[in-house]
Amino acid sequence: MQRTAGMRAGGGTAPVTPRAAFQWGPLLPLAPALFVVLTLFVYPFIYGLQLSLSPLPALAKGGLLANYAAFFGDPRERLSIWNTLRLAVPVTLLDLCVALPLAYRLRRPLPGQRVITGLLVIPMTLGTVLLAEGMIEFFGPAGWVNKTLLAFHLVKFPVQFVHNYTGVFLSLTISDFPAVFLVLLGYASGLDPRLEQAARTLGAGWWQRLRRVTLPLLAPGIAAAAALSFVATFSVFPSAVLVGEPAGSTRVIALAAWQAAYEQFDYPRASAIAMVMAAIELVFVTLVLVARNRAYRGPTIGGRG
Amino acid sequence: MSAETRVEPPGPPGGSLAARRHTIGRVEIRGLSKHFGDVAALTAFDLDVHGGEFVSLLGPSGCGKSTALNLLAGLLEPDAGQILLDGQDLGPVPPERRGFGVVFQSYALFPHLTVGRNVAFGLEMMGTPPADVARRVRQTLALVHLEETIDRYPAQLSGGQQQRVALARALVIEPRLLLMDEPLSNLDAKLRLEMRLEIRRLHQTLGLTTIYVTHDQEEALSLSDRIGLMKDGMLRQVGTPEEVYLRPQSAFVANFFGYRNLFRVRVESVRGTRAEVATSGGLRLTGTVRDGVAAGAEAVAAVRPEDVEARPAGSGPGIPAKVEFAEFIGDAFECSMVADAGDPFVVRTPSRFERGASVLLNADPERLLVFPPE
Amino acid sequence: MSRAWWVYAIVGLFALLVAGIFLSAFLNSIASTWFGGWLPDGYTAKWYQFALAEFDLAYVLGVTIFVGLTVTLISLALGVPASYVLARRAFPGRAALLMLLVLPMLVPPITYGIPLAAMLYKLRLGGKLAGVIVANIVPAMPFVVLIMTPFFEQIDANLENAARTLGASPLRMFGRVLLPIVLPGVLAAGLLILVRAIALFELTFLVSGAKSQTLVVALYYTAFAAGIRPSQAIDAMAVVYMVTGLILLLTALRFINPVNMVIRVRR
Repeated sequence: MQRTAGMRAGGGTAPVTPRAAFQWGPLLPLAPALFVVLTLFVYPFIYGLQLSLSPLPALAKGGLLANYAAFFGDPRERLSIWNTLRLAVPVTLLDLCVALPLAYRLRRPLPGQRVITGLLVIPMTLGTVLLAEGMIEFFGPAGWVNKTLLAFHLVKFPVQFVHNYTGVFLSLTISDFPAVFLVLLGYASGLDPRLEQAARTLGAGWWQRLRRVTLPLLAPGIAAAAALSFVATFSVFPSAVLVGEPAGSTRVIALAAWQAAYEQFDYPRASAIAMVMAAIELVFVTLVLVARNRAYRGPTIGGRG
Repeated sequence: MSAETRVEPPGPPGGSLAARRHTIGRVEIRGLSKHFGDVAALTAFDLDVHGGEFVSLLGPSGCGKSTALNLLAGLLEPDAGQILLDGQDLGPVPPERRGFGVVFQSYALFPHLTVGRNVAFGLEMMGTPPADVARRVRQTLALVHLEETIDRYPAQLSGGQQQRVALARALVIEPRLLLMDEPLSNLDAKLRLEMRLEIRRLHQTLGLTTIYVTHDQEEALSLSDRIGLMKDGMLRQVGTPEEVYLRPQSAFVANFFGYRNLFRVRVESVRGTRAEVATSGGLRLTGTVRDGVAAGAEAVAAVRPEDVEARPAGSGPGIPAKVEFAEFIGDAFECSMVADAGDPFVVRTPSRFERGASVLLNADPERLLVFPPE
Repeated sequence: MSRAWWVYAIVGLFALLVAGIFLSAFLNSIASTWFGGWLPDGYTAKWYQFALAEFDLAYVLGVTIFVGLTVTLISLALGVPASYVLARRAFPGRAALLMLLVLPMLVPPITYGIPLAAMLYKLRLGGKLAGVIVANIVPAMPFVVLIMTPFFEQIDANLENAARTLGASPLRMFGRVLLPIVLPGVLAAGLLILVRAIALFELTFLVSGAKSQTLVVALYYTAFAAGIRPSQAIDAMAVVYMVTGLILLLTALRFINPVNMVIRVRR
């Protein structure tokens, strides 16, 4: 009869060595961070979710989802979603379209590279209010932009750039650009130049190289930038008030939530609106991830094992 | 032919992988030069490659061999010189229209495409009909024994497999010229040997003109019809493997092919092809001269370890020396010795010597070469 | 390379735009009056003095810097060890945990901000400095993890192994080998986090009281009630805010290349 060692029951005479228990000790440094996230983020989030499902007495007869029903039932409230999408999507697209060629070109050194990168990133420091105040003056009826337009006879009357949709659009484009650019620059720099050279030797012209090699390889970066940008722009709040029309075309969903909380003191309904925001952002991010997976699977470093 | 048309290889449409020897793919390189900043990477590079020939560019890193390859591929612009393919000047032709097969050192496989799509890439760029693409991809993958990987991604393959995919991708387009940049340097020793045989077999089957860059002299010797040795951006010697191995024309080439014993000497006398030289230690050697070596001049003497004979002391004429240590290398011993005059020798001998033993060294004057100094 | 002229053109246009916006605000802040000409009618520094007095600018600036620094330090203390473990150890659920730690950055602050504010008020932290600090840690810590994890991943694990075989205990190894290597990165990342923390609006807005506002929030309040306050004074305050952030950002950029700051997913 054959001797079998190891864990076969009723067989061999060799001792069974117990599997070493997984060492949880070294993971200890994670604990504080995890604790913070759980108590200060997950718990409030769940609390907010629960709050959104416990409508105030005035709406309570609508049941659990009364807050959501109230939000979607009110045309003015519903409109806030559209107002926000009308801003977030075009801004994200514009910033992506401008940042992508720049990041792609800047992955190889250019004279004045650090200055350029610095200049493109500085708007991060501006802050919403300075940007807003500056825009009100710069783009205002007596500001330099209109003065220039009038001086060159391009327009007859000053154009209204602020306190409307345009103002918020411009403000978001400028403040969102640095982050999008940095993410794309990071990914573009990781492209293996040998891949494009290989494509050239195989007969691919610049357009084919772009379509078949470069863009698919940049897909993860584009997806990350798009997700980041949308999340930031969809949550817009102060600029919508300062350089927009908070009562009209730029009544964004964040504003609707804020008003529910601090003007009507209906915290449950405010939480519901906040949940709707999170849901929309989640849907968008999921769509982006799905699109990216269809474009590409695998690492961006060239095919070396 | 205008610069706009593609360099199309003639042959049956749709292509088969039949051998086409010596008919096309003749390369003439004239005076090719390239510098980066104030570093001359390549200087006055002249080479003729016949159709179907396998030429290796061999040299240490920094010698300019990869630069030459990149210039041939069109990935770099030369500062001076001309490249002619079958009489056509390639100067104005960009890399995407040269129709060369290039195998990169890092393989450069497209990570987001399957093996099949990688290999098909060049054919798709040429506008080949899909049915033909599928057939040719399968055929070429069969040639490199990788048919079953056709739907896998490069990251899922081993280094050797990736290398073969890179090869297949270059071969499937039936290029007039195959350029390979140190394709085996990332593989382990056993794999390198296997792949070397593969490449040799493929060359014999397909007969493609090939220019192969390597720093490994064994690879160059076993694969090539001719070898071009390069140093510091210049071609130093071009010849068949036998020629460069047995009749090196400079100390550099000699050293590359195993002449491990090199001595700076002064020439005492020259008679015909025989020369008497003296080392710094006062050792007198007799060797065979190359041109350019005259009496009284400084020179370099070179001899192979296996061409130096060691006998126990007291058994006749020879240079007295002592054994420092001996390495057993399987079929012989490689011994480090120091002549009593002070010059070091590396000697390959079948017999075992004790450390510190006294021996007598002799070298056949035919096998001891004397070169002008570098 | 003249073929990259379009890069310079776009960058130039963008810089022009941003400079124009900034200059408009800046000139306004040092203008005695500006009645719609190309340039102000006269110059003065009185608006800065006005802002200093009226808006208690010095105090608000102090609050801002204090909050920013504290948030940054605490976030670093929490996030750096977590990043180290995430970078070095493989364990079941690692990807999910990473996602969880980074999630607060991807979700609009309002979603958890309102309940968080309610919670902090319940804990008697609402409207106080401590509450503002606690609230701002939530989005700051993920940022630390996001930046430091790939940073640690790029450091050769063998450095630590070498130290251990030479007899260093884990603590000494961390202090004498790892820390000196990561310190520049940590500092640079810390600066970026500081800039972000100061800029963060929503949470402070929800949680702060009159005496614990950061500059952004104070600015917002004064701007919102702009009808009563002179725009020049608001601009003065805004300029101070921007210059603070600018100094921090430029300092950070001197030490790090923006290219290396971005996380790239490793398979």
